Amino acid sequence: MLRRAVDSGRELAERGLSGVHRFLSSPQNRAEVACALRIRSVENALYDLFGKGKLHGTIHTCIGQEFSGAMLAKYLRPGDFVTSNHRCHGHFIGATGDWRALIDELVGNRDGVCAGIGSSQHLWANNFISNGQQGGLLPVAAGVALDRKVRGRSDVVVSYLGEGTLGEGIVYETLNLDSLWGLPHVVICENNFYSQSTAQERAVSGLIADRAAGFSVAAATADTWDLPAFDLAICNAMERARSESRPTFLVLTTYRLNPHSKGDDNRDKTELAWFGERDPASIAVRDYPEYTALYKEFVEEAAEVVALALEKPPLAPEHYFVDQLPRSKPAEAVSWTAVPAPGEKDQRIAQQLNAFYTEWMAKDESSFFIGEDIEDPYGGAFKIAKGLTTAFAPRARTTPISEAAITGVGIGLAISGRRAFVEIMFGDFITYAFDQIVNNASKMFHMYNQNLACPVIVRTPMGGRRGYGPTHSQSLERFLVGIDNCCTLSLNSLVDVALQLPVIEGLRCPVILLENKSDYTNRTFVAPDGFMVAVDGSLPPTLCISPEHASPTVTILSYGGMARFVANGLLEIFERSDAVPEMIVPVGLSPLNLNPIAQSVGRTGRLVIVEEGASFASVGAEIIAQLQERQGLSFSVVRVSGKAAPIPSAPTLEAAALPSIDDVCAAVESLLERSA
Amino acid sequence: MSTAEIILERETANDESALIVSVLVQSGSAVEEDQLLFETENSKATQEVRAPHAGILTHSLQVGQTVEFGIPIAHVVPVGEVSSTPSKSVPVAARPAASRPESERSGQSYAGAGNGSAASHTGGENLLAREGITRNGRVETSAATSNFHGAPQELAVNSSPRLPEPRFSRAAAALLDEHGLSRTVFNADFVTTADVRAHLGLSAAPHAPLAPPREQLRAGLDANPKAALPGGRAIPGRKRAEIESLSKGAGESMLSVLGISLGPLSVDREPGDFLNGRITDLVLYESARLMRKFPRLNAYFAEGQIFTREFVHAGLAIDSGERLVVYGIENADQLSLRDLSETMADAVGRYMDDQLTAAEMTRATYTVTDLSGDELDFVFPLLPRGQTLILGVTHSAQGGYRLFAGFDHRVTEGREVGIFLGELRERLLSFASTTATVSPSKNCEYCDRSVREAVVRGNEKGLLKVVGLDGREVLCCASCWNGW
Repeated sequence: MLRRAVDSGRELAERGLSGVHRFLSSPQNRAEVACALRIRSVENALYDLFGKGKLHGTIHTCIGQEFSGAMLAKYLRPGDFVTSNHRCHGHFIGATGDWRALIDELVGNRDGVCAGIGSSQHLWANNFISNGQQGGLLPVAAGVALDRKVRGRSDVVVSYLGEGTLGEGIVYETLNLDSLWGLPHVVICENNFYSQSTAQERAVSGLIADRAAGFSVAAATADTWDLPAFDLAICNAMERARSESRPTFLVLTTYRLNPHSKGDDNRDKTELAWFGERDPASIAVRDYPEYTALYKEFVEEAAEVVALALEKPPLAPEHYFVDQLPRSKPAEAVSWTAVPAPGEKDQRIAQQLNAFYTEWMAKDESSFFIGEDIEDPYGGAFKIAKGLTTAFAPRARTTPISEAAITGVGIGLAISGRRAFVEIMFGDFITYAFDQIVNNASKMFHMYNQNLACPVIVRTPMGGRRGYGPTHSQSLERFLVGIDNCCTLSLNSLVDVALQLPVIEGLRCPVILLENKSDYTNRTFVAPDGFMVAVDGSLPPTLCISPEHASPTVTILSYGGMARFVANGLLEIFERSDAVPEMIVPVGLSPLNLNPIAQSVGRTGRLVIVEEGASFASVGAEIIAQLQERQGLSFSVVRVSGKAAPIPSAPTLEAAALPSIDDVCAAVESLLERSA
Repeated sequence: MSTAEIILERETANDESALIVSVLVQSGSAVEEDQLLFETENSKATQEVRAPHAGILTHSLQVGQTVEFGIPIAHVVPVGEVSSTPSKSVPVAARPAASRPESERSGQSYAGAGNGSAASHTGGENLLAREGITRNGRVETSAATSNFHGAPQELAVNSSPRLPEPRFSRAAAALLDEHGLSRTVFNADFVTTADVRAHLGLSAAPHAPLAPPREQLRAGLDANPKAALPGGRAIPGRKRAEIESLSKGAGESMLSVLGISLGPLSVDREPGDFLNGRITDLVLYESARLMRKFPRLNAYFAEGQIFTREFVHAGLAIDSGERLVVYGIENADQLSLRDLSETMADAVGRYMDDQLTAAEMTRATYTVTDLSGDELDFVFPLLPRGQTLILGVTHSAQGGYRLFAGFDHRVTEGREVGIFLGELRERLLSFASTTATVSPSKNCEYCDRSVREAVVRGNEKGLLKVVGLDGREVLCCASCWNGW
């Protein structure tokens, strides 16, 4: 018969029971015991409220595991930082002591730590954040640890995760970074033998603590019964981080007495009763009169605070629905400024970008630039980072191949008050970083009630026409523009990038900065005779290529590398399609500045949108929808886009998969036919 | 002195383009400052185009051509500059590219601002501030730009207009060849078949979003547009402008007409009054006041939106049989009846002398057309562009006066216009001397002042209809009313 993982817990509990009494009977541990009882009293009150249907949503209690958070309180110092997961109440009270605001938060009133926005799983304090996804905050913690380390401070970052999270790859990406970079990061893995309802033997293989060895990260084990040993273990781990700047993976065996949430418990009742008998907090209340009294006091206090919390008003909705995006005012006048033709010193776009980031790194000494393979002399796959690691170490550093983790690190740096550029070598692999962007970076501002800004800048090149094939050629803009509170910019080579990039300086939201592979080797566009390039005054800017001595009769909208491709064919499009084209090229894809687009379309009445990615639910689709919503604009539109299939490598096949000038001409002609 | 662009400015809200009715100076000729060059005509007025300064005039305009507002139609090149260009003494076809220094043309042909080497492209937003920008009309004038232009050496180069060698779409080129048309007649760049067709007179608005069906145009071309049909006569330019205004007003609106009968209504007129028994002034006077109450009828529809107006300029349709104009009586709602009548008389007089200005003929916010001089029972008034209401007045011996309201259903609806007409009728009837609804006495019940006295004295407002102490309806003048 399969040995059950929980049996090892029974052994530890049996063996450690004397430790419980040793710890409880020592007066010097009173603060930790009191903290554990406080957690117990608050959680019981909340659990009770949840049962009565007075808590909206869900709740994950840590009844039975309280000493995990309570013991941490002993070793935290100002400047330290804690990240936690869905089961975070105990950690929060341990790290902050602010149990009243926690009750407010779960009840959902505006005095809550996040004004009721985050509730149980999404808490914020100056030194604490928790989030509901599994392991997602680990690389963020590593980023905060990197910030502390580079600042030369002896601060420590502590991250909690459950052993169920060991199935997530991000854990190992982070441990790898912790080890490589010597980060002051203590990872506490709470092993309670169950991943929600799934017994550990069905979800976690091997020995948990052994995992750290694979990364040369110091491993430690402890449990919540032999409390003196746990005390020592966490003390050592904190000390290792604080004075040696080395990470520790501390496996803390414990037992959860309540269900994962509520009503979702299929564990054996006798097993629950067995562990209930040996629960350290219960023992304190049962066997130690001092704690019996204290706990009674805490229960009464919790009840009072709950009663008060239920009376407090919720946050007004209008305070919540603001974001950090650089939005243009609807129907604002558009003013264009002509852009001079590039001079003799014009450089390739890759060099322009390199110059821009180099200047940025020199100017802003808090900024970071991280990415795969960027170490000199290689300087990154497209040489955008050339020279940075030489000039700006340790703020510029090469990373392992861990798109999710390095994005998380960038987020950690950003919430530590730094600007961080994270380079993802190919846009195709931004998919790895999706959880970090969607569930961490984009949400933090709102989720933590505007207490935290996350101005991370994730840079990556999109685009095909280089023969790199299905996984190195895509244009994934349409997957990115729908992320709330995240600004997606698409650079092009029509004007110097120095005219396109200044917008990011002022942004406090996350930015996805899309560059383009084929543009990297281009120099700045030189308009064909008779056309002029202009830029509007908004941030992010919109560019316009318009005929100098004729009225345009069709608007062609494109962005990124595709824009250059179309711009290069403007004369051909005119000659073949019998329409005078005006190109509108937005740099900002999300949010969209509709004004220049509407202005041009209002003039021409015809719109062709050319996108390299597939058209379904694309940026173009959004533009059409928004134009349609504008009153008084009548226009006809055709979209030209890449085929909805992986981009093949062979030259003729690749060309067939991506929009061509033929396609654009056909689209313009079909519009002329339509209005005929 | 630099080359001046001659740009036709938009004079009326109704027109996108104007007709060239006369070309007084041929391209390549020397002109004096303020010399009359062309005459254009829009739906409301003719316009003179004069030379901004002395020089050589270049253009490719022909009588009968339609030109759009806001884009250059001709250039005047100062004589000194022309003579300094040895290759072409008179730039008839105006190819300034040839007159630019060779050094500037080499390399990047797009360096319209010249001096491209001075640009550094690493300086971010300073780029624009540092470099003078002369690309085209959309360039914003800034201090930096002015400074840049301050260098006299470069002035001639940078500000010379870059009339392009026009490029033709393949279809446009084919169409030109088909009609044996010279390419030099086009002085705008990027010529499409729409432009060629416009030039051939097949389409008045070459860049309208919704162009006429291609099949029709093709058929029109095949029929050779230059050959008039036997028996037909060309429509004069002014009539064409009128047609265009009405087709853009009534033609685009959702026109509907309501009518109401006033019955026999007689108004005492002084002998020799230009109105000759008509009630035009009363209709204008009362309807203008009612516009304050019915602002939608004074509004206009444009691009899916309704725009209300702060002012009421009543339009008086004047037509001696030669041409129809609508004279806008400024702030008609604030004029006394006497001032209104004088304004009307003055307008009619100046119409006869052809002295009305474009502004006067375009500012009306609604229109009154009085056809009561002829025996008519019905009129279907057509809305001019930019208006929502036009009132038509007819008169016949049997039917008496009738009032018709043509209105744009996109802005208002029949019910509102019906109420408006009803109120207007009531007000007009209060002027009548022979209707049963009003007290037989035409004098103020209390001071015996006559209607005419009450009206004619400056700003008096006529007589009020009040219910007297005995329950009888009587008339009361404003003085007596205020005295109460």
